[in-house]
Amino acid sequence: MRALVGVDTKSLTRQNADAVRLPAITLFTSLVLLLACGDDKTKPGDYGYPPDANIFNPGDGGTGGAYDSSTIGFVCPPDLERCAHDFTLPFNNEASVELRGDYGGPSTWVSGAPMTRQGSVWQVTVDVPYGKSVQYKYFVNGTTWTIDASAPTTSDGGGNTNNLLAAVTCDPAVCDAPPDPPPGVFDWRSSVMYFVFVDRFFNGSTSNDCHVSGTSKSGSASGDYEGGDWAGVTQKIDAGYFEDLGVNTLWVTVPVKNADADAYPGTGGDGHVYSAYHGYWPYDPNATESCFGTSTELATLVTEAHKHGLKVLFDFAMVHVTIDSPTYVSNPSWFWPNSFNSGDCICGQNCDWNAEGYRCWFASYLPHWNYTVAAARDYSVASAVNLAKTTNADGFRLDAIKHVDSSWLLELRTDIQAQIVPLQTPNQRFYMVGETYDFYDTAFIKSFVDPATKLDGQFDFPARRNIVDTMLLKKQTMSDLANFYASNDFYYGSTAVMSAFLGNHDLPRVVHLAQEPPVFTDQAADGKNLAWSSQPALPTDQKTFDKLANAFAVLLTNQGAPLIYYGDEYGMPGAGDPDNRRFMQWSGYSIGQQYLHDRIKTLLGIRSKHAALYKGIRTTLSATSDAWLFVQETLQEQIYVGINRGDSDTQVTGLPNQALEELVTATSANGPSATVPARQTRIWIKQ
Amino acid sequence: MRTQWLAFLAVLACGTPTPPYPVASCELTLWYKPSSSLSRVEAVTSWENWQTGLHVLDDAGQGWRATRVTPPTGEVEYAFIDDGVWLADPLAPTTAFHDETEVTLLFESDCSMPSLAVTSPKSLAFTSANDGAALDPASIDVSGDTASMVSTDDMGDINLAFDSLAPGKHVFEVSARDLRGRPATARLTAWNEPRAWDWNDAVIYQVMVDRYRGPSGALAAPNPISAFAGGTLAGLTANLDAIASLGVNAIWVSPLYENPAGTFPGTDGREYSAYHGYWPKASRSIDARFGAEADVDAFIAAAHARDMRVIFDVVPHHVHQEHPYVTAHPGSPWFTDWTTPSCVCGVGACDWNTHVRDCWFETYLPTFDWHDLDVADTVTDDVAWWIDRFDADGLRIDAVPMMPRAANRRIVDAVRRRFDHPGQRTYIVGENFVGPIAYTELRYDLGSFGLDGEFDFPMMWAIRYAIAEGGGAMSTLDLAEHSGEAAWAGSGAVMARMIGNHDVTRFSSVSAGDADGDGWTPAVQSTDPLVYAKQRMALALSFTLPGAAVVYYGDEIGLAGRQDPDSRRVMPADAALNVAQLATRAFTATLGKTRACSDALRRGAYRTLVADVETLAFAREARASGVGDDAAIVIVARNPTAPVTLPTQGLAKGMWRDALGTGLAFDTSSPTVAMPQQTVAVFVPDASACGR
Repeated sequence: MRALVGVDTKSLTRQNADAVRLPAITLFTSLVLLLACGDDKTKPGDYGYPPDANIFNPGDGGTGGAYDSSTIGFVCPPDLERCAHDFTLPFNNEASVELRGDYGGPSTWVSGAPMTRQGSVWQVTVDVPYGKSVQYKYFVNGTTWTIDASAPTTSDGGGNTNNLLAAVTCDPAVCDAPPDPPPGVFDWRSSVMYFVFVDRFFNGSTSNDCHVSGTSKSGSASGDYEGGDWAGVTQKIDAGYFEDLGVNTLWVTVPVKNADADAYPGTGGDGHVYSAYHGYWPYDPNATESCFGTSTELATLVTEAHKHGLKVLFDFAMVHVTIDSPTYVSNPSWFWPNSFNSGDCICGQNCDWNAEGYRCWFASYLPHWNYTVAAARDYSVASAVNLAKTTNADGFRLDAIKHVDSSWLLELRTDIQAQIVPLQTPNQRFYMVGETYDFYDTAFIKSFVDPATKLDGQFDFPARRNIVDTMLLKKQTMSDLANFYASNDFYYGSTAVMSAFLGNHDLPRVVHLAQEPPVFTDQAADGKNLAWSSQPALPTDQKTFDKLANAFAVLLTNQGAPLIYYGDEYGMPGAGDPDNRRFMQWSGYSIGQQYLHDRIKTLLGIRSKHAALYKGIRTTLSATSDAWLFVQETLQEQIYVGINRGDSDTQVTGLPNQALEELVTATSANGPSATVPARQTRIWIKQ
Repeated sequence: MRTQWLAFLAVLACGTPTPPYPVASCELTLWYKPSSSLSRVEAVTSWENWQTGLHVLDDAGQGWRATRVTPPTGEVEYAFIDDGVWLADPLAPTTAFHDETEVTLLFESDCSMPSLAVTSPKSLAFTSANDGAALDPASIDVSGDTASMVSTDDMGDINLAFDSLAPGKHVFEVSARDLRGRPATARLTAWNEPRAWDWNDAVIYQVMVDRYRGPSGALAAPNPISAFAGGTLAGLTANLDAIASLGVNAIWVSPLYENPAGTFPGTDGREYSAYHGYWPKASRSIDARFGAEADVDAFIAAAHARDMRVIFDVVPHHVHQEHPYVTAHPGSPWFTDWTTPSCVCGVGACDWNTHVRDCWFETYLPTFDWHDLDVADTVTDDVAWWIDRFDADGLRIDAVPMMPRAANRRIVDAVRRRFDHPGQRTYIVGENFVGPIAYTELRYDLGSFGLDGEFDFPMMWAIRYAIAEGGGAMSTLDLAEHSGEAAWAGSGAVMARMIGNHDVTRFSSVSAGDADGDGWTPAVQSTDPLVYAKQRMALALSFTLPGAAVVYYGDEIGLAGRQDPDSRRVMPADAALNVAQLATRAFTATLGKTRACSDALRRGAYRTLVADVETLAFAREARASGVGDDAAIVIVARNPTAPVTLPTQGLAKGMWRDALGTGLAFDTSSPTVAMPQQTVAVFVPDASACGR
């Protein structure tokens, strides 16, 4: 079968052809029955799933760049290319005129560009999309819409006549930041996530505490439930903990009913016994976890979060259920059989994590969903949609997305768009961020990202690698980091919102990479060797916290919704899983810990006030081995950021030659040069 | 041919006992995503005379629109109309021109016939005709191979097992019939070679046939310099072992088309013969001065027997005025600008920018007008003939930016459909001659519908400036690498890295400061050791940067040359080479051997280690582990004032040794290397066999 014109070979193949081309005839037969006579939905509109629009865009050929270090690796997506264009309207005794239109997306129909009077005309220069016609109109005296009768007009199809500007091109084109969402719609680029690991966060109600006998415990590591619950999270929401820190989005561990009475050995035979405290052993996807509270308490968590301006993402685990799950017991055909290749298909043992990653069981007690079975897919997707509906959640964090059939994700997006998004006015973007655990393969990570049909973004493991290798381990230079960021901007598409992070629950606590020498020399080390014995302690030197705060500064002054793993704001110590999930420290911070927390809070305060830090276009002004100076620009503002990772003060040059205000230390400065102290970051705006 | 699984399976599962093959569908679903949800979008088709109002696209959710059409068999066209604006389907590879508007071109197969698709070098999949008629297992026939085992399953999958294929390339015609006797065929290519091929592995030797070797070996310089020198395919074939000894595993031969006799004036007013082959006067015949078809067959067989791929140079942009196409179709619509043949590229008002797509190279070289569908069909078929007739493995497309992008996409699409399948990829590399930093120009022709790769002119210029001329900082090479990778990221391209070719001055003459000047006054072959040191540094870069390496014949011996025609001087006899030339050739062979040994050098990712004024150091790291043979470190040092200290993070601990023979080594406990001036070294871990 050749590649088919206009037909999505990828999804067609995944959904149908490949699935039924598996060699096992028995599988084939049962699958056919499910597909054909079962409840297989071709949707929407009976056309099946749409094609992947994320094909390589070769661009228009351009005119070549220049040996210009500020733009290495940066490629402006064609949809962000703009040309400056002058609009004029003859003066006719108007008091004020505003240019409105679709030149900046839907929002510039609502709030346009004020024009200034230049003698006999009103004039304004705005950036219009490269090579695309623009509809516009003038908003006069703050009350009246009018057109320029002397300019071309068109009908908008809804009975209105607008002026029409024919497509404008220019060389070079300007690269503008992606447009803002319409008024009232949350801009996920402004999201700052905090990962609340419920069982290890705060115990708000001892009545629901669970313990599983036989689980391992040693020093700071525990395989048992430790008491944290949704009531505890709600108490911290109400106490203002998150607002004070400056985060606006909570990622909450899996809330569905887990196998909370079970104790199982760890994957890979690590010799320890664990409970389902982490939430990744779903038992009943349609019930909530009683060890964390009641379903009412879960809904209250979201309600209170919303009151405090916090969005909530629930972790959704859809790769497997536990072997005693009624879902599995009643519907074994919804899961890949464990037997394969004349043995048990356990990932990393008889089966390969990659080649058989779609079907291998993570452990002998974790049956792997087979979403090529339509009924299984529908069931799981429905449970996710139901969770979103009953809790009023704002999005999902989707676990280990590469291990599920792509049809699951496509169907989830379709159903969320149909059943959840319309519930809010104005419609909000339901944010789905995925986890594809890969520090290198950006193309692979990207393959799951398409806000229209798949993920809004993924955790940016390659960014984590680059930040840690540059700022903490110093394996590469600041100019390497600058190059990485330039190539990373918009790599996942102009509408994707990736999430950059320094720590998560699968990696040893990042503070140990900031130590000198680092506890782990490889930023991707799993840290299991120190998880149960010789567990690392809280570092005592200030330098470690300086470095970590400065690594956070990279995260918090650049694009990509930052994620803070609970406790990392205080530099919590811990080796690999489960020592990286120690109970949250609520008091008794060292000076270094308090410094780190306060610096993150300061930076988040700056980020919230200066949107260019998360939605601007970045230009590197200088980058050396130890220092990086860049400017983040939107049409409204320019924010200058200087980061010095070195152990001595350094001077950066390239700032505007005028009086500046430095925001981190709240002092004044003068361009074009400024000193950035050792292991510090400075942020300037024009005075 | 489309397969319609869902509809078919429904029939199957709910009662009708039909075998579970995929079934051809006569319908085609068209998808389109308008930029505005308010847009009115419809599809118009050539088979309905472009009548509007027949296929308004339905809202298919998430911003998509869709509709179904039923195209007739053959070459058909359609377009979308988005709020009055016609456009080709952005998700479709091939386009044609309808009244100056680019529309989608579709090659619709007959849905009432079964088809075979090759799914790997030893398997095929059968798709039944739209009536669902099953495969007749007894009808399967594999031509040219009597020893193969054929097995089928109930799914329509056909598996082949070949008994002891001889080393090299094998092409089979597989045919089958359905139970109603309707035939389907497919072309299957299988190689028996030690390692599964990836074009990133390629070391391509570029040969200008007339100037390489003749019936009695080395050639005398032609007189005048623009005359035929007498090189032949047989001469080339006889020298294949010597070429292979450089580590070469692919050969790009200059065009073999029949060219005109006599001479024609160049833009410089001098008379030139067609020795270079770029003046086709016939599209499917071999120039007798190079040999006969049998000589091409012998050449290809000899190359394939050595696991060498062959890349033909094809010229779909123009023909010579003596070509029968010019006689049969004078002027428009087959050729551009017939009425003003004075529009010669770059001459007078016919500037390159305005007229790049319609100018003529010379007054006697009419340029095809690819807007015409007959031209597109004819030229595409002519290009495919060269692969079909000779089992070639790749194409080098001449003058890519001088044709609409639709041209190379047509050729790519035709080659993919006719000759390629999983496990078999014809490498289509384009010549888009650009200056430094023109990364976006190269990007334009890449991607899923585009070329497999292009010659990396920006890197070539960067290497020539930093190494041959000693200008700027060595870090500009790193910048060029990063900029290129960023511009091409996601395209899947295998770019071709070279230090020169037949259209530029010879690298060694640039190093010697003797490249400027008239191409009819030959440059002197230098004996300065520095010239050869620079040659080795540059060759090493072309062999160790990511992508396919290209060696222009003679560059392995630092052959001198000014611009064309001196850059195409004859390949000297071994006996005529000076000591430095012989040493440079031996060095090239070592490079080839090291590259062949090291997975990292062929397929690893590029990582900057040191990029400063005088030194470039980078690692090539294969993904698997980053240690052992999965990594190599290249250091190119110009005039370093201090030893180079490498960052060791991420490198395998222990000793690393140069595989190129300098004797340099370092231990990661003390990662400092005192690189002598103007040297290059390729370090591999001590344990690696590639260092021995």
